[in-house]
Amino acid sequence: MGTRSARPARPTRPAARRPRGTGLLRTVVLTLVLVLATSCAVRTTSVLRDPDTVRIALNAWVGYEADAAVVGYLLEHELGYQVQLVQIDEQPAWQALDQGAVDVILENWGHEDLMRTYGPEGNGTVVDGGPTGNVGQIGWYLPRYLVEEYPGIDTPEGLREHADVFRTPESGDRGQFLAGAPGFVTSDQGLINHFDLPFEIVFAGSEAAQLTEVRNRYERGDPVLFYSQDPSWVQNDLDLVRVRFPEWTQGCDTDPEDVSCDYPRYELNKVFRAGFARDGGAAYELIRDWTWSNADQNAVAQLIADDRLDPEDAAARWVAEHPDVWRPWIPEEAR
Amino acid sequence: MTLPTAGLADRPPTGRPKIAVRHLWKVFGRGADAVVGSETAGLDRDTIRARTGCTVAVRDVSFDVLPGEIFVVMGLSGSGKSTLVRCVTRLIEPTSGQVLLDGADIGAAGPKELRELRRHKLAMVFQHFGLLAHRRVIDNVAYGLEVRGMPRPRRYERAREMIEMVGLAGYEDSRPGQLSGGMQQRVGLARALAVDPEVLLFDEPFSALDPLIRRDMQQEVLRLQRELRKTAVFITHDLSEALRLGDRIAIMRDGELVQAGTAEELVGRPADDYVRDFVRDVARTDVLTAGWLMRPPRPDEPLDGPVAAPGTVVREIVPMLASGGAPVRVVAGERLLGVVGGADVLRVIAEDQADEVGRTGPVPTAGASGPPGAERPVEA
Amino acid sequence: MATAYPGTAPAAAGGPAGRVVGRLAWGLGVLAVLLTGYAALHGRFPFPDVYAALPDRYAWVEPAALFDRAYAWVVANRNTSPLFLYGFNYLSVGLGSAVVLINQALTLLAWPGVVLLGVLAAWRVAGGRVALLVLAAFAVFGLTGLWNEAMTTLALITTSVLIALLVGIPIGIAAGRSERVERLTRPVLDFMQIMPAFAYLMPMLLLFGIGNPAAAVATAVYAVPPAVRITAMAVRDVDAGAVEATTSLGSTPWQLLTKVRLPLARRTILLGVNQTIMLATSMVVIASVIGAGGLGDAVYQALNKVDVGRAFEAGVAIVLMAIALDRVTAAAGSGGAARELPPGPRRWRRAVLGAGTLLALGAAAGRLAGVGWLAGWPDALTVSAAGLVNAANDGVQALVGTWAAGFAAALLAVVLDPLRTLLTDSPWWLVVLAAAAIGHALGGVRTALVGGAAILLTGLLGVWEFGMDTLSQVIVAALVTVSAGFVAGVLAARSDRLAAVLRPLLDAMQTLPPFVYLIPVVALFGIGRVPALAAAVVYALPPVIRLVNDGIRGCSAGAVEAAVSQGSSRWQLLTKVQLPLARSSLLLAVNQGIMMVLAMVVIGALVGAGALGYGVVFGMAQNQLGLGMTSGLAIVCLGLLLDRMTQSAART
Repeated sequence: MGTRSARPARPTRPAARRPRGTGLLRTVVLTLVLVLATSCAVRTTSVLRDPDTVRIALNAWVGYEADAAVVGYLLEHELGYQVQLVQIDEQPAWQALDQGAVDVILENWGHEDLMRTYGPEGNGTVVDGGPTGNVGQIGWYLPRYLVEEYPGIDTPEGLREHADVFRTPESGDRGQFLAGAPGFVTSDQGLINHFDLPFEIVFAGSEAAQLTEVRNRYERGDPVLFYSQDPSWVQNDLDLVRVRFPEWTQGCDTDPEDVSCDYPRYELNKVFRAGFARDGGAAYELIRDWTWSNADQNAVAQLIADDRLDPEDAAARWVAEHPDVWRPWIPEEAR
Repeated sequence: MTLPTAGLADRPPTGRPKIAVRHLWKVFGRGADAVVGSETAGLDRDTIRARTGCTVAVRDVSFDVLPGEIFVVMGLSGSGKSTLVRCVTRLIEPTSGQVLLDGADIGAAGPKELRELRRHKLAMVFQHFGLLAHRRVIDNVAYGLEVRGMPRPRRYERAREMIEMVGLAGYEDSRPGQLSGGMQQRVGLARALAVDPEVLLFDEPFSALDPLIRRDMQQEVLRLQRELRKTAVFITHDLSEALRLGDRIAIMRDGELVQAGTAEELVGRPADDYVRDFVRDVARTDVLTAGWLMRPPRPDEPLDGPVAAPGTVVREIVPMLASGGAPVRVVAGERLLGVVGGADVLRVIAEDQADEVGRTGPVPTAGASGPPGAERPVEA
Repeated sequence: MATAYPGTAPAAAGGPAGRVVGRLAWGLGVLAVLLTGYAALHGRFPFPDVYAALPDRYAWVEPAALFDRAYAWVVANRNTSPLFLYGFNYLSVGLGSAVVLINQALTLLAWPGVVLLGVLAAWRVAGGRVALLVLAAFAVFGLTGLWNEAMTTLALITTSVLIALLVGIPIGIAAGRSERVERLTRPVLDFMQIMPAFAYLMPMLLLFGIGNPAAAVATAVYAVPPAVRITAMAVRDVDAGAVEATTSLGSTPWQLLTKVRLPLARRTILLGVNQTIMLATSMVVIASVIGAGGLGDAVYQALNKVDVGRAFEAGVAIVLMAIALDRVTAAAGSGGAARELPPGPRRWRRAVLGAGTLLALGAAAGRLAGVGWLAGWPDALTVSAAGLVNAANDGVQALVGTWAAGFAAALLAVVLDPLRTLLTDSPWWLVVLAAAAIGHALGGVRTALVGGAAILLTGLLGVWEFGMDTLSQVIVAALVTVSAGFVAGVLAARSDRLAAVLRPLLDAMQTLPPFVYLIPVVALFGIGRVPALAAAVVYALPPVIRLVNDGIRGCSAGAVEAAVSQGSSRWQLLTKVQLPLARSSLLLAVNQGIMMVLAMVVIGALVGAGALGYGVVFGMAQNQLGLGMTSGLAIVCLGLLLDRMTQSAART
């Protein structure tokens, strides 16, 4: 103890030091002022952006991701663009186009109402980009083994009869219909009402959760009835049957509380930000001319979802194997 | 070794008061303004609290502080003494009454004037030091000069002088947290002195310190007082400290000033039982002086006894009387002021003995203390 | 002394034990009345559709419709209304650009530069061990192939923390200085903390635009409360003596602030900065839902492919970033290692710092000159643990899957369903009264009023049934969390070894984004309320365990020693001495547990919890601001109800 001096060490230099932190603060404040002052533009579209970057909205399902992976890969490797994928739900993605935050939605399912709001008749910030070549079908799906066990279960009448098969603790004394992600287009409650089906909708809340549940039940051979769509990689993965509701006709689904028909077949299309369609250059042309089949999309989607390939690697593999499909998309001058 | 009883005899109360406090009130609580001047004001503290919810901290206090004197305000905790001293520099706004500095009302000063007053004329030393933990000693001492806008080299020069003066040379670059309590209070003292104020206010500056260090610090104050001749208001709850430092002492109780006077006046002529009780344990022989006891010589008395100054305390007169029968002559210069006889002294001693039970012994005298640097800093 | 004014403390009626018994009896009584009411009147008094009953002239007051109209207005006027042209758009563009700029700066530095600068800065501020941690974090970003994502996230965190501090610290100072500002800000902060982040993503999106701007603002909003609260506390707690002393020397208010209050409050304020950063880090995952990109996006995309392993990797990257940021800022707050170093190393330290900076600049220059391997983390340098994690996940599922499913079914049938039925089918006014009665028992008239009003407001927002459903889930999850947390906390307090094992585990549980374990819980418990409950318990457990452990360990050693010396058994010691002494910590633990459970309501909806959480998620995904906001506000109401009740229980 006693040997150590208890006196405080005297600093060698008396010169005063500036308290730490003020310098940093000053820099930070200065930077912020600069940033704010230099960006005196006021429209949402004026956010700092690189003209060589294409911003693609990325919706939550794997089929879409396959689209984005392949289109993005071609933009980067064939045309030299940078691609930024902006993860966003279906409907907010339209808003993003309107705000100028993204350039394109690659796979759009319907949404005539949004086209009215943002399209040429509305804000004029969004334009239709033509079909992707994919045909989409939303519907109620169940495993084929159920149809074998309960013939006719894939019809409204069959479902009504065998509703108790689908009971779960969560749905109580009614059958469980497993709805998908909250962002999807649905008329499930309308169908239940119209066909007087004793079913309770259980909202999975996310496609991931829904598919986990579906696959679990499928593996165990349990009954399951759920919302899904084609193209979708589960369709390739699992042997599924779509419930046969009456064919869609114009107007049969206008009242969301009373829907007397199946979901329509969607000609999936692209939606562009109007500005991008105007001056998007080669990138715009490539996406405009891009069309492919459901099989193409499923091939890529399966690489991503089942083989757990990085989307970029999946795209690279597909691109390497199908030059004849994508060659025509590349604009003349870049070929 | 004598007690430093620099009484009024040394410095007669002449000239205008440096600080004059006039009918000062401080009432805490909502509606405090309504209490002063109303009938309620005459009631005792607890009744007022019960009736209005207000607490009377200082009640109608008036006193003068003369230039160059140490005026001690003493009282138990809750007596309002700390509030009183804060009212002087308006750290607490008085509810009513005046504080005059050189005849000018401090209460009338605007925010700017008040700051100027604080920067140049009044400086305070606090019980818990109030040092800035993030600054070095020198920057703490120079603080008052810094906020005045004095350029760094000059204020550092002045701060170094002050640090030297309070005996902390070599610690300029330490942080307050590295110093012991006594050393921290030296920093507090140096900080107050650095602005070269006319009036120093001490709010129980040493009560947080160990007794031995407290004694050193009291010596330090007396030494600085001898050198600098500042006017000081000194708050304490420690009677011995009051007796040692105070030229005059005021005793407060429940916000009221009970008695103000020299130590001898308090001890020799307590105004009421409260004061009497308060000073009971003080050895009168250590406080009462020849000047206090003396009387005109009776015609039959011999005037060849030993000579003493008016400030000599009774304890020191006793041996003088023991050597012969003649009373002690109290002289100032060549002039004979009066005499103190054996009987006078005996009466004082008898009074001391009367309340012997529980007595705490003589007021501790300032012993030889080491240099301030000998205080050990606290271990980091 | 005149400065102390002892208030008259009301004599507490009855001992604490008597109070607990009284409350218990009261609670049971309320339950009995509710059950009786349900038995007699169930289904007879659903919450009335007040807005349908209103005359058309007043129909517009319906909250959901109000929000929907606001939404439509904004969409139509975003690029024409001055409010946007000169207000929000300005902010949005500035913020979006700030994120982009920071990200570009990080890209320009190239990965060796960023690693070098980051590690050196950590070393300078926090010493060698933290520098190693930072290095490890960077290594994980690179090795998992998430380098770019991590940099995007870092840029977003930086921007939003800067906004949060620029706004929060001045407000905090004002609140610390003025009672009135404090009183004004407190309810706003409470609101911000209870409002589920998901619920305000949507208005942010609307006002500030998709992607970085909205993400930055939402993250900043989420992270600002601790900056305000802790700054206010720091400023308020500055040594009054120092302030008084410097006032007495004639300081101006500004001098007092800059020379005294802020420097003295610096450490505590830095603690607030630390907390702000942590919250921002936990928010960036949620922000990925509105296009924020970065690591959160990686988690989210992996989940869409049900790739638990990949999501876990990204989650671990986030955890590491959080821990690294935490350690560095915590060290900055406590003064850091810098000061203790003797002068010798200081010299070579400076040399190392200088050389490092030069190297980093060199890397940037190389990047500009087009040196290939500087452009991005080399792909060859990546490994993946995803397969391993996926295998482990499958293994666990195979092991306990059946058992877990059975447990889920039982929990639903025995607890969750009856409680939900009781709350939704009882007469609504009886539920409101019951809430008020419980509030009265816990905290008196005020709490009764707040409780009753909060639950009534849930109905007035138009989401009564959803609200009661959510309330039943929250109550059960909170009960599970609190009881499990208490047991674990008590055990941890008794065994140093267990506490040491738990600590890193709890750290990880707290910082791991809940998204990561959503899929495993679904795999175990199926879709529905049970997996949501499980996720909520995992999320809310750490603070409960921590507070219980700290509370018991913080008991006065003297009291424990005295009790032991009088022959208490371990059980007696716990129940008669330690738990009563730790009471305030325990009640805080209950409060925190409940609030954390509530914070998971929305996330639970992603695995099928439905109710209010689903309202928020659905509103967000389907552009239905009305549904999203009313559901979000209803969650706030429930939060207010539960928070006030537990807090007033802690006070009285």
